Amino acid sequence: MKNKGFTIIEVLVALVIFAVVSGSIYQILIQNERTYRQQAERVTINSNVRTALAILPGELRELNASDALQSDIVGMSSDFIQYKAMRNLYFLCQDPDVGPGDITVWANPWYGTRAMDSDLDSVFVFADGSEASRNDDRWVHAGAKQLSTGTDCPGGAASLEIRLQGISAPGLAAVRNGAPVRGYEVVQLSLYEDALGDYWLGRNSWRKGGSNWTAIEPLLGPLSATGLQFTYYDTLGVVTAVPRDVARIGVTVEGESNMVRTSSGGVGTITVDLVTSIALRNNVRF
Amino acid sequence: MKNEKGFTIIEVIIAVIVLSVGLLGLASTSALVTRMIAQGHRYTEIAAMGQGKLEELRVVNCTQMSSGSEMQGNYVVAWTIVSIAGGDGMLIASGVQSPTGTGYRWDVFSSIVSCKR
Repeated sequence: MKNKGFTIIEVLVALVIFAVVSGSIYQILIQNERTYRQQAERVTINSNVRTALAILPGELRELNASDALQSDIVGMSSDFIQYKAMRNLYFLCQDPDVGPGDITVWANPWYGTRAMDSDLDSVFVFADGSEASRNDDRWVHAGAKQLSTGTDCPGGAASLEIRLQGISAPGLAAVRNGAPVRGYEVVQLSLYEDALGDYWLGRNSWRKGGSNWTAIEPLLGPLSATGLQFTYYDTLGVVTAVPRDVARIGVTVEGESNMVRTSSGGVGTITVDLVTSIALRNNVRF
Repeated sequence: MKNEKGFTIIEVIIAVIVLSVGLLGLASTSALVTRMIAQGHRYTEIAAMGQGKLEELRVVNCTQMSSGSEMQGNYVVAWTIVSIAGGDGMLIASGVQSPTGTGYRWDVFSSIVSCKR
């Protein structure tokens, strides 16, 4: 009567087969779970470093490092760059008042991300000089010290009077009615470490008023401890440390994941890096 | 009614084999996803590399530009220039050759630069 039950041998064989099969199912599930987590982290940092390659060229491409008076790059190093970031564009609505150093512009910026801010902004004012020649054309550099609104533009239109300070040569005498005025702030992009020990690409701005940097705000991350590297090249492709010689900026961004289980069962982070180059479009060419 | 007594060893082995094949199929999908994500990143790298070469060419005086190629890691980066608009501009193109499982693929990027100041 064999069908009364199993022999001990049958039970043992069944147990062994069950153990082997369920053990390998368990291993496969565990591996799948680890792979899933790793890949999820990888997707996140891939998207982070791609974002960096969208933001950084957008910010740095418009610089003119080779300006005759002063480079748009204010300070530079392998892990930070300080540069003049254009924020608004105005036009003069009357000739400047050379004595006190006042310019009056149409109140609304023609173009830009925000209105003039006397705490942050400095200006370039276009000095045409001789109208028959472009050889003496210059951008006059100055700080925007004080702003006052009025209705002084032609036809009683709203105006913005900007009191300038630290006016560079050739001065306001060469500036005509209708000249463009570009407002910029000095922005720093840098790699910084937060209180928890994570590294981020951060941005802050120079306050002329208080002579200090604004609080740093994270743009993206987390990055690795050497996750942001700038390299500066001149027109010949040689690395340079002189801001005025910079024609191209090489950027390496390395994103770092949170701690994850590795395939072998240990714990570690995943890093992904990406390299690109940004040519400065507004440089004087050749 | 011999069949009601239980499974033969042959049946058990076949069942285990079928199960294993299924599980291996499951495991191989994660390998596939891993490869696809890595490939996505490689394409990003290739795009950055090709565009980076265009940026390099952009700062060079048109009279000093020349076609060429170089190795960058596992990739070959080649670039070519064509004078357009009677010498007022330059069509610049870069290509990145990357190894695939079966051979190579080329990704090509192009842009135009002005030769005027």
